[in-house]
Amino acid sequence: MDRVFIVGVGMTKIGRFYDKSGRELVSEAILKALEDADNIKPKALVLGNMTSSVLMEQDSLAALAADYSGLRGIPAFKVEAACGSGGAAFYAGYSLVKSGLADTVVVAGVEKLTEKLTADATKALAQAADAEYEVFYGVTFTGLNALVARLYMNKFGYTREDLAYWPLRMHEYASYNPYAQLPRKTSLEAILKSPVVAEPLHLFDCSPIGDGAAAVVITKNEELAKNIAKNTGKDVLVEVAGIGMATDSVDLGSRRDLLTLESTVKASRDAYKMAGVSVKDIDYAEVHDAFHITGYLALEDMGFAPKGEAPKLWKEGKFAKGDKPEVNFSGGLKARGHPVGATGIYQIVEATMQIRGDFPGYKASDPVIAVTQNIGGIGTYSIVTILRRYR
Amino acid sequence: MKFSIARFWREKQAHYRLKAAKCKSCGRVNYPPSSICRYCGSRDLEEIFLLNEKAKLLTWTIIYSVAEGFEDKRPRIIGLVETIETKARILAPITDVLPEELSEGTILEPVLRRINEDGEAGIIHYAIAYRPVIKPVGRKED
Repeated sequence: MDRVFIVGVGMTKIGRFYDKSGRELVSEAILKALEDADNIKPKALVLGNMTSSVLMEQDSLAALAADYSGLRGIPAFKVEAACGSGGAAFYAGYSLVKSGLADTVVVAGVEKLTEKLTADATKALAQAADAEYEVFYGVTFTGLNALVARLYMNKFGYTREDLAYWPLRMHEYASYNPYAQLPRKTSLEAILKSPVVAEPLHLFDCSPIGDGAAAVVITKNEELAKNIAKNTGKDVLVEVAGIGMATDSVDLGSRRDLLTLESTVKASRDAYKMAGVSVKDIDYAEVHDAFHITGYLALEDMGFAPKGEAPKLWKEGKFAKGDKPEVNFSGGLKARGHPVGATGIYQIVEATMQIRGDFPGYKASDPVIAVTQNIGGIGTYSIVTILRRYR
Repeated sequence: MKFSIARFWREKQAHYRLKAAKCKSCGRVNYPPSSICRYCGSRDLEEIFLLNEKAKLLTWTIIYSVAEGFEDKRPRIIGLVETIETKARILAPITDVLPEELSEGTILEPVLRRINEDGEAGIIHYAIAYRPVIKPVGRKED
């Protein structure tokens, strides 16, 4: 069986970069990843991005990214799966490598959300939902997540304070992450008193709007991977052990169960099976907490917590340092930030660095098996990737 | 003109009369309507309208940070409702009510309401919203 290795990673800090364009951000991330991969020349580029058509008024984004990264001429295309665009791009890039069409591929993600006003970004992000039967009525993406959050709180008897421990911990982790958009601690009081966005979700329950780009280089050439590791002074090789992707309805109303991300259930089980691992084997996880509620649902639907119990376990201190799995030491979407189409790649970069031991923030306890979970919409897309230390 | 006129002309039946598709195979109601049952895959569906049904409130949100075009309609209450007989779930504005009067299971009825407008000269959108069932004044409920 061909193994696929991650041989280079790169990312930019996440923030509101009025002084940097989308092409500059993605080029910075790609060049960093190529440098980390001993400056090899990739055979193709796959790019995750959601909103460039609307907010950057730019299509042909992947060719632009290739050109401005010194890669003019190679095959390149953009993959869009709403907030799951990064994970979906990785899925496509992995397929290219696996198929043999390109033995070495750079997969990047970029999002430039601050090009226009926040209202414009909000509108662009709402396009993840059903344009004709949801967005038409004036519901925002936060509003849709709020519908799920209220239902969850009512069904399992949680208060806003019970759920606030998620952002609390994410901010603490992010305070160690030099790439994070919100690298500062906060308090329960600040979370609870933050302004309401869409009841019951308040500002500090939600991920911020920011720009960023991340990239990874993957190859199935084991000899090359070993040489790169040697030449760049790394003693750990990370392989992609499994990957799964699934979809669900775009509209929330027709879900079979409103409180289960069924696409995450399917994608994670496919990925575990492909990697030959069980839930209990997983040491580290980066999950998609665009809102605290999606973080809790991710833990439940990936099999780390029984339905309805994630907030309780989280509040008791589970999933912290020393536990299994350790979760979101990057600070998560909540505090590391959520540059939409880049987020899935950030997660893979962070999980890779945690396995290699060179993540420059809050360090996991020497994980061997890590998982990333990236969703688009409220579980309209899920992409779950298993990374494993190879030697 | 920001809005597509063709699109809203095309969606009249769904937005004004809650056109849906009932699956003759599994019995589920597809809303929005579709030509294939999104639950069981059957292609044997019949057109139905959900406009005469009351619905119960499953969950709701009160949106303060509103989308573009809804700035003068803040805060906006959006609910996910389930029709009583056909069990179709519909996302719609909740209207004629104070937020604190809502609770899970509140019984609602459909009403036609203005959604928004495309500037001074453009199209005005109407669609179905839901409001709590009004109890007639001075009459006892049976």
